[in-house]
Amino acid sequence: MTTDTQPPAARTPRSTPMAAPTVTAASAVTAPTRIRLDHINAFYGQKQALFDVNLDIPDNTVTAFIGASGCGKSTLLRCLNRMNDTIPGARVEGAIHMDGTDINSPEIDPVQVRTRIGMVFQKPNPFPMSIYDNIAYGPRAHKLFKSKAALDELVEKSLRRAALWEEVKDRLNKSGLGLSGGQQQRLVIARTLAVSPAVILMDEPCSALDPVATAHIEALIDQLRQHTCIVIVTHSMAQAARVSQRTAFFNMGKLIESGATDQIFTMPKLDQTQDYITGRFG
Amino acid sequence: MKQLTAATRARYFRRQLVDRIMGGLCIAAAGVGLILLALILWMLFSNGLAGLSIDTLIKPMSQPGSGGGLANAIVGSLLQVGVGAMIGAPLGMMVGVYLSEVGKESRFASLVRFVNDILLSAPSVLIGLFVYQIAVLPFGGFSGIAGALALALIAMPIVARTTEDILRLVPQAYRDGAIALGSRENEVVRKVVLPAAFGGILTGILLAVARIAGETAPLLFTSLGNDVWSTDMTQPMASLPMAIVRYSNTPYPEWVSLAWTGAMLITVGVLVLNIASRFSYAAVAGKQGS
Repeated sequence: MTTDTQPPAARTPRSTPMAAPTVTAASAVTAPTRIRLDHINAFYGQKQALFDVNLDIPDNTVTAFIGASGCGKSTLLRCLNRMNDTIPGARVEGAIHMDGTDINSPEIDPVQVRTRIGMVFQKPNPFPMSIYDNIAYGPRAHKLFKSKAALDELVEKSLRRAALWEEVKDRLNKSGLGLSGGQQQRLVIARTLAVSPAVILMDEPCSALDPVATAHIEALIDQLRQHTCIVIVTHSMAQAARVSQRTAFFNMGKLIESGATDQIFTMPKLDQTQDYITGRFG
Repeated sequence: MKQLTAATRARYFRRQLVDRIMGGLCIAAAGVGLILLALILWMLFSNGLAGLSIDTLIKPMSQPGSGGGLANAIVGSLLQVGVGAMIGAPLGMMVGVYLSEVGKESRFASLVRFVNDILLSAPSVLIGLFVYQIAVLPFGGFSGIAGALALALIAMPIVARTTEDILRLVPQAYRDGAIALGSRENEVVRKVVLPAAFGGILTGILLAVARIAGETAPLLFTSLGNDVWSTDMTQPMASLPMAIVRYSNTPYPEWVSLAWTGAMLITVGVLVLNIASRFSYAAVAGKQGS
């Protein structure tokens, strides 16, 4: 991947005419599509949470899902790593294509999907064990290393990639719960990175953090996208504008509009999007 | 302060009075409990310390006047409680894990939970009779194993209940985190949930051990008791509670004194277990940094 030399996707000018009310624009992005959502419908029991969502998520790009609470953006995020499978009564229809497979198909083992697609949650959730053991959890579970030295190396590499190494290298054997909120969130990002996922899903990763820690995480997200595809759910318009190159706006379980972040924030095609972004919502 | 009307002032004083009375009643109730506990301990120690000597701890029971001790009863209790806990605690833990992590709110889990609660409050003498039917009669006699089995049946529901309660306190975020890293259900439980709850589960086990250490009724029909030294668990076996029952109803002052000593030993053991369970919980919670 030589994304370093590519112009940032968001700056590509757009003039594609609108084809349908629900736009699934992919033309603005030069990076290849990593995940293709094909007619996704999601249900919690009788209640339908997502209605016919079609969306291409490009590689090496940060895609932001925005929309009011209950609009289905988190549900869609949890479709991508099959986390909805763990909720009794939840059902997801449609195909999610990734690397030539439909990862939503019942024949696909969700556990396999989750090793390829990592997830960072709203509240930092380090396990109640040492910093080292937190990072080593995934590699140990999937036997990703050959020797103790290799595991040490992997732990260090993951912590470095999450920009946490310098702060914790002298206390790897201390509990992960002793870190600050921002450090904990970087710790769980490092824990996710340790299994080398192709995609990282982030569900409001900064909503429990102060502005300084948020800035840290956002800088980190920007670095990580060089090597991974990132999807982030956020309630903060400013954050979506800062970190993402692509934005998808959801309302009442429907994908209303998606496109380059610059375009969505400066000249959205639909009034509904415009209203939400400018705060004239509902 | 602004001038209060007479009605407001009356209401204010009434509420203050009720508050004081209620607070006083709570303190009185706590005081009654504490005083009773202090009286029991005082009675135990003043009567029990007299019979406590090295001989009590190393010599088995024997005829009055021949300087017998309680060694066989102490060892018998340790063996039966130990084996009982080794059978009951893992079974109880497995039930607790099933209820909290696998069965959850399913119909079968609800049934198991209901049955476990009944078992939890079943009179211990019934459990003794049950084990008498299944482990004493068919094998032709009382045995230490049967005693341990009865104690295990008492410990199991206690451990099951505490394990489930503690596991439910483990934040769902830990489970989600492990699932999102590609762990299977059993790995999530073994590597994240159980270690996180270890201190609490250990506390539950220690409390269950403390409970069965003092049980008498289930041993009455199972291990019976034994006046001579025996560590053979297929034979009738002595225990401290049975020794107390046997010795306290005798005309021999020496035996009565030993009964007091036995009661004191059990109480001290239970006390130590309770305190240890508090420390073990604090130690594990501290290590995890929570």
